[in-house]
Amino acid sequence: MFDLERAISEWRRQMQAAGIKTPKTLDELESHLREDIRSFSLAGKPDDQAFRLAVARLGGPGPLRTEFNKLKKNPAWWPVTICYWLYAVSMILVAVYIARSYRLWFEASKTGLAPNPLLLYAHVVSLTAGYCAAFFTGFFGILYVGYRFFHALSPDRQPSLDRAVLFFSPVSAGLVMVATVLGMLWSHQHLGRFLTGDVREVGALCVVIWFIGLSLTHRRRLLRERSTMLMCIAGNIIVSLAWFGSAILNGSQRFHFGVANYLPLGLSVFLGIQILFLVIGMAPAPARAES
Amino acid sequence: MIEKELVAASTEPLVLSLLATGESYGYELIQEVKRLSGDKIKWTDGMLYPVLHRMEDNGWIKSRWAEMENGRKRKYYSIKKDGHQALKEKRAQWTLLSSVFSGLWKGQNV
Repeated sequence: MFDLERAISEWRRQMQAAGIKTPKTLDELESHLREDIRSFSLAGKPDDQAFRLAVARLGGPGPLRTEFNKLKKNPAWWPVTICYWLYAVSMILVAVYIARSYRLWFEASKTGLAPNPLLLYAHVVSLTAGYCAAFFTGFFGILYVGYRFFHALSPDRQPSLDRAVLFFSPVSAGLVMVATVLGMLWSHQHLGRFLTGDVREVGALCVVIWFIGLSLTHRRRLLRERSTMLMCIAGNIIVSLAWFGSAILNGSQRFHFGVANYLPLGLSVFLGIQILFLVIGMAPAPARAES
Repeated sequence: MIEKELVAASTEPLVLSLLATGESYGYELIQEVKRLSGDKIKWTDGMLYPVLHRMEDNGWIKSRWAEMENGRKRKYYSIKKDGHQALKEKRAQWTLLSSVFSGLWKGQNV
């Protein structure tokens, strides 16, 4: 006597043995199989025949496994993986540094009145995190242009860069936006107004607009990959001007890591490199011999 | 019968077009394609699911499990905003191809 439930369990076991192991995928395939068995049964086929016909129509485990295996994402390109780790580690270090500074303030506040710097610290952390994410996005653009100059980008490397830009560009826009709002609140608390007309505010706003634009055009595939990557490099120029250029302009460069004297020179060199990569990126890829 | 390469190339636009009319599930999508093509488009049924999963990974469609009257579960798919955009692009490509062939074959007795 044919036992349909037992036959379906056996079919499931064979699928698992062939490598289709995800329970949800098996559930979905089983659901389909049952629909087909039902339709054959309604057409007057006996259970065993309905089962065999439905299994044949669904396809064998081998070809199905091959198709499902194609869905597995290629691992990220190693320079991209390093960037993810670098970003994570640097953000942890910044958070630890700020937490330590806040603890020092907390100890000091017990002995006397000191304004609570939490809002300012949150602003600094989110701004640093946002600008760093923007620089990583720019680095991916440079990586694309530099690599493309010597080699054709392989099909698994381009998606890896795409995914990284899809991650870092909205993160950058979001964090800089949060930092701007926090900065405005701090300004309101201490200076009595939300906007001070500081060139840094303008710079942050430009970064937010640029990276929202980059995220949207990239997500919606409005531009070709090369144009997107050039936008990433141009983002480097905007962020460096917003972060360091504005510091030079408003005289707050002393805050920048004690390298105030070298900041204008360093910024100029950095901008020159970005422009160089932009120009290289705009040129057609060098002809390569077919291998 | 339509050649398998052409069937494979048309799977995504067909699924997106069907889901643009409303939520559906794998088995129903296959039946609908069979009906609309007069049984001339034949998918190996199981092959539709990797395609659906890939489209879900692409962010074109989303899925949800729903319980049926008999207590069993069924996975429903529906189109997302990015899916509408992808459909728009695919539609433009297929329309272009169609018009090129129409122009080429106009008046020819092929």
